[in-house]
Amino acid sequence: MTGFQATWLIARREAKERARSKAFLASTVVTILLLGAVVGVMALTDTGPPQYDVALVGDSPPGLSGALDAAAVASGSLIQFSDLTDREAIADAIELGELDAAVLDGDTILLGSSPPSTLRTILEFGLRQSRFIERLEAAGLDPATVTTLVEPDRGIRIVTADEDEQSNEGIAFAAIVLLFLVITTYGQWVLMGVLEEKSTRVVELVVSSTSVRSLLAGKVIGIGLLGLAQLMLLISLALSAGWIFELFDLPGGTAATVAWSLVWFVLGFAFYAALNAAAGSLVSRTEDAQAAAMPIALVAVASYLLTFVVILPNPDGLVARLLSMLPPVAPIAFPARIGFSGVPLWEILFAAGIMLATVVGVIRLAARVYAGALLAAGGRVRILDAWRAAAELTAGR
Amino acid sequence: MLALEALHKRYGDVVALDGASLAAHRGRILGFLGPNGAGKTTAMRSVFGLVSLDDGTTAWDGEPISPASRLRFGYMPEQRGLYPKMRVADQITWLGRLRGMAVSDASEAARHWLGRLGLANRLDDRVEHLSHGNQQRAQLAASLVHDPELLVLDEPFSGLDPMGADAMADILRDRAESGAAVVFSSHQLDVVEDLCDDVAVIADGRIVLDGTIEGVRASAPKRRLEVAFADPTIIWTPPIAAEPSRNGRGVQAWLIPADADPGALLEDAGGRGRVTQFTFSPPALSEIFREAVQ
Ligand SMILES: Nc1ncnc2c1ncn2[C@@H]1O[C@H](COP(=O)(O)OP(=O)(O)O)[C@@H](O)[C@H]1O
Ligand SMILES: [Mg+2]
Repeated sequence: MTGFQATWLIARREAKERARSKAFLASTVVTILLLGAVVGVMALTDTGPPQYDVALVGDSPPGLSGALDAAAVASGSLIQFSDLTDREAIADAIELGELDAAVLDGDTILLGSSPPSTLRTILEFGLRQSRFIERLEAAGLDPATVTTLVEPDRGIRIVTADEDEQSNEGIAFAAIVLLFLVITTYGQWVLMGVLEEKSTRVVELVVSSTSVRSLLAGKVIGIGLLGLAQLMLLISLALSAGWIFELFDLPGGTAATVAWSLVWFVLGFAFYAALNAAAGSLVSRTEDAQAAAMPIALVAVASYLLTFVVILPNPDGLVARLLSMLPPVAPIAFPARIGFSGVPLWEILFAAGIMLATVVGVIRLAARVYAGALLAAGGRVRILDAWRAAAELTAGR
Repeated sequence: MLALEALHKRYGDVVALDGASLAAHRGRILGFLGPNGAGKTTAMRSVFGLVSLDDGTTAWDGEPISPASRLRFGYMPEQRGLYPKMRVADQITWLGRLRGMAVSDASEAARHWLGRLGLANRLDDRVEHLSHGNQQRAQLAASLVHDPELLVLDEPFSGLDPMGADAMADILRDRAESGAAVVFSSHQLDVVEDLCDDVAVIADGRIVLDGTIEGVRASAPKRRLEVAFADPTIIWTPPIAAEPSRNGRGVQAWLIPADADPGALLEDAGGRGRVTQFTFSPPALSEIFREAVQ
């Protein structure tokens, strides 16, 4: 039995037993229900594709309404043709916003003061195409051939740069909140898990057959894997619900944002979980545990707020770039920065490197405190005493 | 063979171990006896690396004890504890695997021991739903599942009813017979006298007495003297240094130096009245124990 095998056994036990626990099932079900409720509300309040009211007046090319319809469908919207014919009434209606646009005599497009660019494109394209059809027919082609020539063989999607950035911001916001929540929740599990092992005294039995470091690493890995599985389940449920109900378009950068979020989840979780394990090992009662973990919770909240208040408003500024390198901040700030604006790869890798080194350091430190404190008898242990006890303990092994 | 040599451990001002040495042999049961606070638990934990010794060595078969050798040891800590929410059989299987057993072997061994301890129909219950006595049994199964070469049990008889104590004694004997070295601690003497092959008595962190049961009794510095008279109202006191001891109905008993002359004593007693019973024998273990730890 190597240390790795023992760690893996411990991790598997941790994940399996927790996955079977009522608390975990309840939290997963509640989260899924909440997610379902959000999707439901979005679906109910969703008004469908944008609809534009357009009036056609005067001498229009014969295929105009068909071409407009086709162009609208291709860009994911609908055109509703108004039966207004009076030019003055039309101008008024456009001014009042009751009508979105009108095409006069097949050569003039009348739009409101701030027309949606999609509508403009639809109208221009439709008009051009119908004129083109008209000319083709005038040149002697029979209407059936013309139809097959101009019929769009696949849809055209119009996505503006602006829109793309906005959706990515939404995803980045969701990532920050979700990461903060899961990192702190699963950190709490580690805290409570350590405490449970101590208070039920089973730790003495386990540590008589394996090392404290394996026990700590196994606990963190097991809970982390379970957390990761839950996180991926939630993300994929959210994404597929969004896709099925067509609630949002996934912008191009989503996959990268999600992938990086998972990487940072792993690093951030390991960092905060190891700290929580050390805190949990210093106390022997639940009431004390909250107090011991308080500094860690404060650091997490401060990092969260820093990300929102300082980093996001100006993600590419020097302050933001330096702050997000700090290990407690990085796991929350980086997914956000990546979602909001492109971050150079070297910067991500550099920060991940710093983070990884810190995580290794924190885990070693936590294992020492955990070793010393777990085996000390009862009560609240001072961190310095735990450190000394651990020094002796590791020397003895 | 388990060999603990010259163990020293202080906790602040408290000296828990003060040079204690101990040996336990394969195929034999060692009773590790001593009053509360004498250092039994500290010594046993040192076998599992749970104490950072100030000085001294722990060895198994002549090699310093390592994490790898500990996988072949079974331990029942003084502070009992299992994962409360985990199912009994799963838990014992898991502990077997942690000590390097294959899944199928561990599962089979867990079922075997739990069955033998009377938990065959509780295999899928969570530990927290077991009665106190059954939790003790599961705890014992946890120390036995991997068929250890060395079994270290801290106060295994505390909290057991007489039937439980008998079952425990049976299992310890069985393990020793199949070749394991068995060490158990106790602060009560009555249970262990018939069970152990060897004893080590610890007081204030030092071993004050050790050896085989027969050897310890034979080499005791005192002898037990019992005298009964036909006329129970006769009061007689030996004419040498003697301390009164527990006596049965109509029998007077003393502890006297081992080199006393029983013939002279019988003669002296006979001068007082007709003697109906006269015994001069090595003392009971409990008396030696009391003497040793004073
Ligand atoms: N972790 C500890 N911290 C401080 N004192 C301890 C600790 N463990 C044991 N002691 C002290 O060491 C002495 C021996 O304890 P122990 O080995 O538990 O004795 P026993 O098991 O024979 O009752 C006792 O005085 C006890 O209070
Ligand atoms: Mg004890």
